[in-house]
Amino acid sequence: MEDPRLLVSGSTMDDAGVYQLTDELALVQTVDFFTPMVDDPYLFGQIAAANALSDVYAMGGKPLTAMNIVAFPVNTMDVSILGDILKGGAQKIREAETLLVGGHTVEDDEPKYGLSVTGIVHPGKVLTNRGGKPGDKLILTKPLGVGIITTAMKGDMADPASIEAATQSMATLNKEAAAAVIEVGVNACTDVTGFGLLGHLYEMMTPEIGFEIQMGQVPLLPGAKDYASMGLVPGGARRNLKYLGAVIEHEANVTDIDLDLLGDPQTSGGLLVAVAPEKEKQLLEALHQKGVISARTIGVITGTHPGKVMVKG
Amino acid sequence: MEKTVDARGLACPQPVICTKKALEEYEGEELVTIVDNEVARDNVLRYVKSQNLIAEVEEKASDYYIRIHKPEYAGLEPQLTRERDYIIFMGNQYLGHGNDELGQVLTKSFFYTLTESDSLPAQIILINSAVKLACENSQVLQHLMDLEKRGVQILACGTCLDYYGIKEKLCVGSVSNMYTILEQVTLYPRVVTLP
Repeated sequence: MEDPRLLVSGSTMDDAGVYQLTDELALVQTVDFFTPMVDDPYLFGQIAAANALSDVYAMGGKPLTAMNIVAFPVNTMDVSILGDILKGGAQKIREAETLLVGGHTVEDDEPKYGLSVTGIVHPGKVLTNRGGKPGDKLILTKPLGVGIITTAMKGDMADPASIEAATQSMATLNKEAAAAVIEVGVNACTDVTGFGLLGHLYEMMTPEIGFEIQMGQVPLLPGAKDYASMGLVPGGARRNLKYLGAVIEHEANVTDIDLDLLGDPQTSGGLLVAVAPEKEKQLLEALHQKGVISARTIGVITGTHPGKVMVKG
Repeated sequence: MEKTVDARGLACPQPVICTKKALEEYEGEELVTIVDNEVARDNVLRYVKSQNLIAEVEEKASDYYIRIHKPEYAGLEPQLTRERDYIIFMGNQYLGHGNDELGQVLTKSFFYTLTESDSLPAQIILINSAVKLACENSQVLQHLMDLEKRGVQILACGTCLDYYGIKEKLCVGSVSNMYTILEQVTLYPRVVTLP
């Protein structure tokens, strides 16, 4: 349905819906929930909440209120587990300076948790996927490899250092990264989740632009490359790459393992930003200063091969 | 007699994990893993390669039979290069012996290359004139700061900083002593000493 007050809808594959209320104020709304990827219920709660809140941050918004969405096998699983999931979520909601105002629980065979989040943004300051221009630098704020490491965890093949790095990365809010992005000003912004870095780059594509990624610059979680080279790659990574197909081109020294890392589905991934080249340094400094230490420039937007993502070795 | 792992119908990473377990338990020379899709086939082949084993694939009625050869000497599991399992020990601000100007270029190039590498050290220990690299006006300061941000610990010898009178000019890393340095050098499985 067409409505001039609907500034951003699902049709542009953006992260959240944005609806204008007044000249100064627009509503940002999003919902996200999923099944556990870690055994620790408190940590799972933190990750699911950080992941849901991220969609508001990726739109340049400030989250105000949140509601729990819960599915739980009430009759077969210890209810204290549910309590821990909700405590983990509540901790992240507090860290985001957001209010928990309610929620809903249904009985289900498998636990699921997430949030519906409502936030606000100035209608003129909405950060959308599409807005990148040729020459813009691409900056990623969290390392990749979460999907591969959780796959290795399922097979009991991940080492503790990798698990710790991956879970901490997933549980980290994109709040500080978004604050730096808003402070400096960028042309486009999204968060990297289930479609992997390459899939979300594709969402940022317009007919005028293409992307160049420097594989060596892409931040990776410790161990991710090792596990990918052992074949511990989630099916989602291959589906992402298959879907993108002809969009991706790569230099001869870029391996299948590299592509799996770039296609790896992320849970609660970092922000992916297109910033004008003259602001690149300022943005990186602001990010690092706010503790977003993994943030790095990973490539550039080009006008020479529109519609393509070129991966350089 | 060969052993067979039927991984048809299993979702990733199960085919890889079943193959790994079977290889660990199995004493014989040949193991066959059967999978029913290309993704599982490629993942199992990748695992086989990572373990320095050899395999052939045969396609039969839309299934893939992966025949893995297990050589007798494969008792020792090959170790993949792990991140941060080594330390770098450096005693001279100029890399290599000979011309210092060249040495300076090489030092710069070395640290740049290190920042680009997949395999970062756990620590970089600087003694004697190498401590200058972590101080004001060093040409590799940015690289060292970058490495530190990425979790590489940088230790500069306190006695050496005092000797050169530059303790106040240390910009990256922390001041250390010979006791800690000795402990670290003996603790890590690999110490890379730069000439």
